[in-house]
Amino acid sequence: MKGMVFTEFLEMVEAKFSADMVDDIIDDANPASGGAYTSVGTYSHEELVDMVVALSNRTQIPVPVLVRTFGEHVFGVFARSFQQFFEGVPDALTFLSGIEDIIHAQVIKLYPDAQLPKFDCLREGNQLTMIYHSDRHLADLAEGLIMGCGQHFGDNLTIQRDEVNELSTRFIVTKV
Amino acid sequence: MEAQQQTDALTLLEQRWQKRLDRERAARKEAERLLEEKSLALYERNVELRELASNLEKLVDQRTNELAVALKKAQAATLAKSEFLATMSHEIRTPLNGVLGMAQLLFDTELSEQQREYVSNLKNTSNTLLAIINDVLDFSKIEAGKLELESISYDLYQLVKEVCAIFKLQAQQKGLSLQVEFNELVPRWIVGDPTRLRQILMNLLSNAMKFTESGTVGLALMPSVESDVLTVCVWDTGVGMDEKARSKLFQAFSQADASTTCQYGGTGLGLAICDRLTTLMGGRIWVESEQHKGSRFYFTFAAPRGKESSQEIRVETIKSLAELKVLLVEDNAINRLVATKLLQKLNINAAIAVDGLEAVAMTEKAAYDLILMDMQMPNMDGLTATQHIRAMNLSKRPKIIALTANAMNEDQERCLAAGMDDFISKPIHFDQLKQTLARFYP
Repeated sequence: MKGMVFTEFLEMVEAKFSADMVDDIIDDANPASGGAYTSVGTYSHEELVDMVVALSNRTQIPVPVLVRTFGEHVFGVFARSFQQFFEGVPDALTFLSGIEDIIHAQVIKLYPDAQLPKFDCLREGNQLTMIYHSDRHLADLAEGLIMGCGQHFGDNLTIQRDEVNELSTRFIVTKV
Repeated sequence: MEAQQQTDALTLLEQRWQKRLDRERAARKEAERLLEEKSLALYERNVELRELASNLEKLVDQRTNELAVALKKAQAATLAKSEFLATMSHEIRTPLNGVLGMAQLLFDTELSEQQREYVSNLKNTSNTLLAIINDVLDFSKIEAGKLELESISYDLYQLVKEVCAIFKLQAQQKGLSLQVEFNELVPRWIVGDPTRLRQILMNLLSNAMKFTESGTVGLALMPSVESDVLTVCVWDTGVGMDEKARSKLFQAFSQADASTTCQYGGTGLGLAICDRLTTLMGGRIWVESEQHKGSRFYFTFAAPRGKESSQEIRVETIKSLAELKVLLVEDNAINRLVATKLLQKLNINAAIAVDGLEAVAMTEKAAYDLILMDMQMPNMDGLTATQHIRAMNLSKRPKIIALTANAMNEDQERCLAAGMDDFISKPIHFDQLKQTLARFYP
């Protein structure tokens, strides 16, 4: 997983909780990389999961809530860092429909060995069905990102979510 | 106790900060290492790309050179082929003229019926062979870029009349009707090369005759959309041809199909020659045809309006020519005789020099108006003699006209460069001699 996700996560923890909390969850999770993350590095996604679990234990906030919140937060960061992807995109549903063909296509160009989740998208008017396929079980992160996207565009989105199977989750995103 | 607790807390805090510092330092080093790694990878990639680009350039250069060499070779080969063909044709034509002449002489002697038939066949086949050789010679000349077109004023009506007269008998024998149509806007006198126009017309008409068993062969002349361009149509009601045959028609050595050669004969050069000639004449040639319905060959050629040549002027010219002092320089006795006789027909009694050396000596002693100078002579050739004469301080500058066997452009240029005024190609034709003199002494 890209280092930027890790640095952003730890920055969020520092902002929402404290610098001490950052130290604590790194100590708890004891990541193989040592926890000295840089945005240009690449690290195992399990380290992130471990730190989220550690945060959940210390704060008594359920893991899914934490992950979704992080997703919302990190979308804002992306939007500021990669403004070129937002040029000429009118609304959240249009942006989300293009995740696979536009965003992921660019990521693969820069990082040929990146392991990306796959989204099957079907747009019907104000409704977008996205089926998330990944063996990393980060559907919560995906949901948070979708919410963050809605916020970025100022669109009021409702998200209906159900598990298709162990590896796939369906999101029905509706613009209200 | 409290102090101890405070110290512990401080130590803990210090450890925590130390740890944070270590982590940040590690992160920085990691980032620097990654940056270094990426920079190196980028640098190596750059070097590779540059090498690839330079190799590609080298490869392109190499290929370009190879192609240039191949092209040069191919062009040299084509030129060599054309020159070989021209030389061969020329070499064959000379003895063939002998064969034809002898056959003609033989034909005029007393012969049995059978002998007459043999000689007649001999004459016909020799004529066919001569026509083929002429085609090959023409074509190789055109391909070598050595065919020069004349630009003189001539009577188009007269030319068409003469050409049609040739085919009239053949048409009658085959039971074909021959139609000629002249648009009234077509000028009678035009400027161009009558020999080559005649060649194209003869070619198209003889094809039309050849491929038509019944019906009509026609010739029509009309103006074109462009000014000073004429369109000619030669049409027939003969066998015609399909698309496939039409597409290859104007290529050298190709006929409608191989069986055509068996059935109708020919070299497959005629139309290729017509194609090249029309291009040289500033026009083009094309065909419309349908199988079993006949063909229509069209060609255009540049034909600016010409001046009417009058017979009377020539008579006057000939009278005044008698006063000219002329020196003929020629080493070959027979050629000398021919030239002398031709000049006498123009009322000119020429003085004679047998080589360049003698010509120079005679020019020093007497003032000549005109010197007719052979090119290749023993002791001193024509070019050198001309240079000597031009270097003399003469009260009157004589006109020098070269008599040359090679009518090629480069020879003509050499003549002019040496100080000659004009040239006449050998063997000398009376008309040409007369016209050339008329240019200088109108």
